[in-house]
Amino acid sequence: MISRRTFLASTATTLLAALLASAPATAQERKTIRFLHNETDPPSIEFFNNAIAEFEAANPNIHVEMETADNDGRFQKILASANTRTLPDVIKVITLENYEFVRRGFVSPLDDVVDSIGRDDFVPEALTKIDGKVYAIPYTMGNNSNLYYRTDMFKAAGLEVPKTLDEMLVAAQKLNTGGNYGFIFPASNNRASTLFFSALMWSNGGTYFDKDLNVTFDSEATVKTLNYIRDLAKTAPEAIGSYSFGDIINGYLSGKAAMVLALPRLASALGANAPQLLADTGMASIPPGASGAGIKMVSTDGYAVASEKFGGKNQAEAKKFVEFLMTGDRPAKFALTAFPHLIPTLRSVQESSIEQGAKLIGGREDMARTAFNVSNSLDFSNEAGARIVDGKLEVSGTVNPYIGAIIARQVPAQVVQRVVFEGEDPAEAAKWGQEEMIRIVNELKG
Amino acid sequence: MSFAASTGAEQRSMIDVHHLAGRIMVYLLAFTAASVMGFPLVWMLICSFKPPAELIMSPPTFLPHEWTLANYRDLFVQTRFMSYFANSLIVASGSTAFSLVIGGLGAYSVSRFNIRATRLFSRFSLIAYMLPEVLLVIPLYFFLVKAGLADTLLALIIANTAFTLPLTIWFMRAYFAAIPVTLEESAMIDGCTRLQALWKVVVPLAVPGLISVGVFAFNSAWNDFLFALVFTSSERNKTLPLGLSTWIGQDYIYSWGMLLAAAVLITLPVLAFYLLVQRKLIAGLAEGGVKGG
Repeated sequence: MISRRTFLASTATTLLAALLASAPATAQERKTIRFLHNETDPPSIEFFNNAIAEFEAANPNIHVEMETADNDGRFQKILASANTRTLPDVIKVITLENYEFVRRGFVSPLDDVVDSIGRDDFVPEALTKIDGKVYAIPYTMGNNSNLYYRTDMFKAAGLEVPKTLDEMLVAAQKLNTGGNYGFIFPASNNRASTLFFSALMWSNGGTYFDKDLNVTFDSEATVKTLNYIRDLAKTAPEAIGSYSFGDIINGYLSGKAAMVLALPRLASALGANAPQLLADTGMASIPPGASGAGIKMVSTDGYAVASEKFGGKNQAEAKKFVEFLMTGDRPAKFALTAFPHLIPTLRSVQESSIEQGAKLIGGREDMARTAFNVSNSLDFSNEAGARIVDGKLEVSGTVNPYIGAIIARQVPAQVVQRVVFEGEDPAEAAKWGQEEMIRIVNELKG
Repeated sequence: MSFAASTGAEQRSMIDVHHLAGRIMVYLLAFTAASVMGFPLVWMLICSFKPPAELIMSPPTFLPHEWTLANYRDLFVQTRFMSYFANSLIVASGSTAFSLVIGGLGAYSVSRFNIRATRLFSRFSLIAYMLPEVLLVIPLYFFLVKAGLADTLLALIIANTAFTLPLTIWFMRAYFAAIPVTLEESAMIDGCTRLQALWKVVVPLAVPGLISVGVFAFNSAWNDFLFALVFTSSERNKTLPLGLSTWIGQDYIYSWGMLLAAAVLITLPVLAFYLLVQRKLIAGLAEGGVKGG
């Protein structure tokens, strides 16, 4: 029979041993670089584990410590670490936040790495320059504007694939019957709603800013888009006020939606979970709006290297690791961990990943090619002053330092909610949005 | 039967009916409350045994058409669930132990040594408890980085202990205050030191209270997310809430089945713990409520 004293002593010893084992790895004779990202699908984690093992085998003097978080958690960790100047050496960043990181000196320029990898091999839309330099190596793009549609529902209703946004609305209204919804989209106070609205506004010829960084939100295009979304909402579930990215995907997977605009993630979800539904699904790019072009919302994710001042003590090793991840067969392997959602940013990789990945989505190479088509696309940082000329997009080259705060405060999403749920007149809502954006810009200008 | 006797019998009969009606009402309300609160847990359990395709069916099925353990298997094979579980257990157990020892000793001191300093301390600790976690996390992180404790389980234990100590001290103070001092004095007269008197006389009487605060401290540390998010970074030190959140925060949940299986496995230890200590817990909460401050 164990005495109480012995039991307590042995428990305390076990706890202490466990605590000591959890202490961070010391540098010893190897340099340790920390790598923070939010690609947390188990296949993606497995990819990074294998890549790290390969890298360490080729570089015995470098140890890579991987750290993962969800997207919001990643951003919070970056801010908390920057406060204590202990940023991880390599961090995943999105284009919109990177402008602010560059402004605050968190990250180092990486033009040497871009040139090592091959500048010309990058998809042009992927590389973003801030003050003439590249501060993040783009490793994947997210095409938010793929139109998924139920071919069986369209056939039964005698409808063709929509060729314009107006046709898309008409189709949604006709297919909103028999317990099915004509269209599902997010109308919540979050980023998903903002992305959905933005693609439609751009396709109708509007922009948030002009090339001189004046706010141009209160425009005919914005009012037209808000009217459009108000009408489209009548073909959607009442709960769209709380929908985010995952809800759109789940809604389509339930088999109750005729159309959605969504990420290529839906294609991989269809392949994994609903092969019957995949067979009845077609995919196209967002149809053209009043501008004559369908403008896609395409965001870019990149690897950034923390500056020395903010904790990046091993610059050379960190850059070496980033270059390693972007060379060899690794970019193609990474793309396959969530195919076709993770669009490779290197042209030499895209074709081979389509060939290898199509079997993961029931042989639907057409879906992969549609997802990978990022022509005529905008992101928030480069949309200022963009124009559509003869159906083709022309960007002004102006990088917008103000839009990050506007998007972070969900102003466009709030405008949508005012129209859809509060019944506000679209012109008034657009005016409110304009005033709100001007106020934020003035705040940032000080 | 006389008139008085029949009237008395009727009255007793009416009282019995009222009593029965009252009991039925109580049981109905209890059943409704249990169903409302319990149904999500039951649904979570059932769905954890469904294959992915069945989870997205509309209309949903109640019982699985095909029962499967694949979600549990994938959870252990594809993720570091066991590592997260072990870390959560270490952090929760450690912070509970520290809270009970430090909080218990602190509460005993405050209740027995009625001097101005201890009175001020007990009030200050309650005010400290009112500070929300989100205000403390960055300053605490600064401190932990400087102390070389960043990315360690010890950092989480310290943070969680600090967060639960004020309530532990406040709750146990009332408990100890209700235990007669004469019992310890008798023990000390018989040769015990104060600590021996505390351990042998006071603590056995305070077990229900200690269990109540122990359950609170364990639950708080087991479910902690914010401290784990900021203070830890490596995969090997991740706790359960943080490990699961990496799936939820994405644009799409990778596997609902795995998430549900994980939720079941996270809930089970806490449920088992509650079932084991429920009698003492209820006694502790009830007595804590009537004991003087």
